Amino acid sequence: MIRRRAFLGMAAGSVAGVLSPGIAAAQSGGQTKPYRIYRITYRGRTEVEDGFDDYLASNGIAVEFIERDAERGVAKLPGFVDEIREVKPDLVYTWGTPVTLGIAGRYDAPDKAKFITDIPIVFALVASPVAAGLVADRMVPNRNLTGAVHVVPTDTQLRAMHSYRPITKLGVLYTATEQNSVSIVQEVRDLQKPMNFSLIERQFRAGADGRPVADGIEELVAEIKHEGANWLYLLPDTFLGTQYNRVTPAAMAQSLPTFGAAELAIRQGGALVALISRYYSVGQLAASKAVKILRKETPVGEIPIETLKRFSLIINMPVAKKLDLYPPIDMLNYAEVLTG
Amino acid sequence: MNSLRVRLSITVLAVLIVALVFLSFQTAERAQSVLQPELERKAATVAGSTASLIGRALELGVPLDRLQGLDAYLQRILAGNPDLSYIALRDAGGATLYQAATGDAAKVATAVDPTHSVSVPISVQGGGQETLVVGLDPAYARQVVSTLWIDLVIVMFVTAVVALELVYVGFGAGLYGAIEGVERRLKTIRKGDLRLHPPVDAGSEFGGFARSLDDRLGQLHSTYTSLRNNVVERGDQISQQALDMMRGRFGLGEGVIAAPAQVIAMRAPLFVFMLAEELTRPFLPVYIRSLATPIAGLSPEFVISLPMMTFLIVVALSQPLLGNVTERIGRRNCLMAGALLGLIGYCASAFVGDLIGLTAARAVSGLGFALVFVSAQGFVIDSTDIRQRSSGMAMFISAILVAGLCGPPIGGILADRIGIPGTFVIAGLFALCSLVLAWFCMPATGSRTSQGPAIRWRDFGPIISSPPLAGLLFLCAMPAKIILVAFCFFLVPLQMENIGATQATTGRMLMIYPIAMVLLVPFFASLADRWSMRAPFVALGGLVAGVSAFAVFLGGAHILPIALMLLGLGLGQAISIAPLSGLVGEMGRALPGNVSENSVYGIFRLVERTGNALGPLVGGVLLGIYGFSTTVMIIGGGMALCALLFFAVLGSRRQPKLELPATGRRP
Amino acid sequence: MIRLALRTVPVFAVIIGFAMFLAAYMNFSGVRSAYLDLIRSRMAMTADGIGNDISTASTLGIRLTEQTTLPGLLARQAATDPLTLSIDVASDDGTVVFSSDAKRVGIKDAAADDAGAFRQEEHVANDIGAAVGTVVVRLDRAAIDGAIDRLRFEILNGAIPAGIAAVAAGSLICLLLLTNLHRRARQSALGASDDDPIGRAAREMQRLQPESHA
Repeated sequence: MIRRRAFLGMAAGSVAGVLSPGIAAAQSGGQTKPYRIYRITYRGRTEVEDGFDDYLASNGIAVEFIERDAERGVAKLPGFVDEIREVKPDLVYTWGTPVTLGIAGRYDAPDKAKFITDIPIVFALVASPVAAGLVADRMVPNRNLTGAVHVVPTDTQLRAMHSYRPITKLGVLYTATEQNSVSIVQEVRDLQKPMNFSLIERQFRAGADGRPVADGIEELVAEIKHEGANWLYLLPDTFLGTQYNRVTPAAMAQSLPTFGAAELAIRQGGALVALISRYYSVGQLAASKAVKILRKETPVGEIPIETLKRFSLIINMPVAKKLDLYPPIDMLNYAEVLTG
Repeated sequence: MNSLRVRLSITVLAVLIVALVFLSFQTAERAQSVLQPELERKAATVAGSTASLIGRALELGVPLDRLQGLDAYLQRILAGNPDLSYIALRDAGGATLYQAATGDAAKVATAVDPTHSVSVPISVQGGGQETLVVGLDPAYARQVVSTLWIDLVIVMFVTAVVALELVYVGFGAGLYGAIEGVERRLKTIRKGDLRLHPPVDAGSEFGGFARSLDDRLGQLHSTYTSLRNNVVERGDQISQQALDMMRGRFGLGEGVIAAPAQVIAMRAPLFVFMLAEELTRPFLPVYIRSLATPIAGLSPEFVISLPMMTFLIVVALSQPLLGNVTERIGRRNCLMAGALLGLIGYCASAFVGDLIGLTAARAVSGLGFALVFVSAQGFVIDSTDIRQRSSGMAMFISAILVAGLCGPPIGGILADRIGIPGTFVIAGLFALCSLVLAWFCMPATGSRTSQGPAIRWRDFGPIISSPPLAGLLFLCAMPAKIILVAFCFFLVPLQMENIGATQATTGRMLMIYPIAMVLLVPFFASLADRWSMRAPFVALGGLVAGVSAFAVFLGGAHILPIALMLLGLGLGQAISIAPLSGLVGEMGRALPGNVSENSVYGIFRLVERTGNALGPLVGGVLLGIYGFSTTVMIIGGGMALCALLFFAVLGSRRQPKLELPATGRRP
Repeated sequence: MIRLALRTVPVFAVIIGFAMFLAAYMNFSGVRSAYLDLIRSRMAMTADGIGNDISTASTLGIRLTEQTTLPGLLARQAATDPLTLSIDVASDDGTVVFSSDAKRVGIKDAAADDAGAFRQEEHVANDIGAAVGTVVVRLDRAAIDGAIDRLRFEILNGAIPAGIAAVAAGSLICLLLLTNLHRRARQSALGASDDDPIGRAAREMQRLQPESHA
């Protein structure tokens, strides 16, 4: 932690003054001035960025960040695109599917002028880059984009859920306009038969502009419960990720256990259990791609998009207590338990 | 057979058995006092680890009545540990909250037997009074002790056999020549047989007795001769008649009683050398596997079989050739040379680092083995006449069998304690010991009688073209050796290693076959002769040996089915082995033309040895493809099929003969 | 006679003595295996339980290095057996990732350089059979060896009285047998026996002798 703070201090305090160019050159093998990375987050700094920064620091890469935040929407993205064209950073970093789509655009977008197509982009936390249309092939992106996928495979998620408490009816609540969520729900549908459960689907209501809105979340959760669901699966839906503070209390009110697919779902959102990729590790994986690009070891279009395969099972004991739904005792041997 | 040797053997045996039974009871008692606390400690470990898991759950805030899946968890522990009878979580009042139990669960709920259970309190900060109780299954403790008793009985058996063999070594060492000489004289004199005896070494006190007895007898004989000459000279008919009567009664003037067979001289060196080879049985394939490096295109199991096959091929090929060599150079010299090769081969086996080196070392050992075997066999033939031959051969065979019986368990224990290379060195020392014993015990030059013609290749024709004999050789004799070598020397040691058994256990497993042979062969041999059913016995034995392989249906990864399989193999071969050998002679004599019985036997042995050499090959090839259980079932099934086929061949030949008397009896 | 006794009795004493020693040693070896089997089964149970948890976790995609609950679990398990030196979990390449003994984390575990420990290893694979790592339960070898040494001392020493008795009894009976033979041989050699065929034959010949002189 100390190391990271020190590094952040350097980055924030405008690298040139703090970091001796001589040392930087020695560390990075010929790097004479710090690289410039244009970083766009979706809802402020997360542990992903910590992992990203630490990885670069430990590999001796000196960087200067231009930090921008989308503030949980896509409205500011066109402005960022213009700024990137102007600043010409060495690399663009994007957080989440909406931001990445807004900056890089679909690989088959008819009008490429609205997007960045010449500067390398590394994304983190995009659940399904192919379904989102960012690339055609994960192994060979074949454009100015690569990154780290963080999602735990859906069947593994359901298996973990099942070993906590057998699934009979599974509820899902997602955004109909998010490509990624739609494809995950399809995977869940396909798993009904082999895993012997039934599915109850609800979608977030849409506002006038077609964007999902938080209205009626409580009613939707209650509907799911009334149809007999014994689990609510908080799938990696970008909009859902912003609504944990409404969804999980609603589920709690209905005594409906929730299973999270993202770290935030359990750390802040109050899900009962979660099988997650640690954000920190996702950041490290994304940074490893960034290093390859910055050092010009491999052309960006040839760096495969990788899925992180390191998961953690986390049980939220206060929630378990409230729901009176405790984990199987042997799960305590391999699950992390949040007590506070 | 009331000789001193027999009485001394019985004495040693009786005294040893009394002492060993006492020792075994003592050991069993001591073992119980060591093993019982270990059983309890294991239960305590189970209790401790389960209690700590429960403690953690309670610490994390899971209420006592909400320990999800604890029953299943306890059940799983119980299923994995046959030594436990129940696990229960009890509250302060002793009421059972969660439990898993084998058998009578109701009994468990109430009974708390402090002598058969371990209790551990659940430690949690400011926690309650819950305890976790783990019950020990007394039946398991009993089973541990009874398994130990099997061991102890085996030890008694092996020890007694080794002691008896040492008595033989003692007798073979020439120490008892004078005593036996005196005994022989006393025995014949008491029967009124006053013939002269060949002289014995007169150095010892008994030697003195023998000489004075010889002097008295000699005096008697010279008196008789002079008296007889006198009487004949005088033409005294009456005295001559009286003297003739005395000659008839006492054997005076009859000459020297033939010396008894000196077969015993080869017993000690042969036994000790065979023991050296048998020591390696439990671990040889495992050792080869540890040295083996993959060879492209060959399965590892096949590669393992190569050095074993090399040994047996060397033995099979060199044995027919060595007969004449040992005859020319001398049995003793050849046996010593063989022992020396054994010493080199075993010691080299200990230090080679790779498969090729080991194969070479095994080839050297194989040549040594063949030399010792052929020399000892030749020695028996040299020092016996036709009448003594079968008892002499019995002593030869029993030395090999007894070595086969004692070697594997001792080798197993040695390998466990000092490692496989160390045990090879000890085997080498045994070979050296055999060399020294041969030097001391065996006479420098044996009398040479011709062994008769060796195998004549042209005799193969008539043998092959006689369906019953060909069937006997290739459907019974050869498969019998293939299955024996494949199972006992190759597959079982490897499988035992795979299922985690110690070398000592493997060694004891490998005793099953020779024990069955030693105990049952004489019984079935006499039965087959009495009922004159040699051929059916051969077929039945083959069938039993083959079918025994299917014992692995009960679980090829468990010791008991494998033991059952070896027992069936031993039983089957005990049924067939003596009738088989008898039948070879019987059928050989029935062959047309001038095929000598010797030649038929020569070919029979060659076929058997070929089977020996094929054993590891067949085992290795199949093991690489199918794994243990299927391999033994294929080999066993093949053996059973061969036995049935042989029976069919025989039946088709016999039927016309059987019908003749029936039709003849009709009016 | 004394010379005879000196020459023969030791042979039987050695045979019986050696047999008794062999039996006692093999008895000890049998008890030793039973004892070690029990200890191994205890260690295997512990290793198996931990391996099972690791495997289940791996099946849920939790990497070995991410199984942060393991140190606690290992410590709890190590505490249940007083003979435990440590319980280690090593990764695929043999590096200790977690251990109940913090000093062992990060070292390369190899049975060959671990002479002080009595080890039980359990290889862990996940649900599709891929190797995950190894659980190594290490007990204090000195303590176990101490118990085995005591056992050897007790069994071998326990065999001494029985062995001496057997040697004495065996030697005595052998001596009696030899003495008996010796007595008969002497009588026969001297012609002192009541029933002496040599004497009888000599007397009979003697009877023929005077007739011839008559």
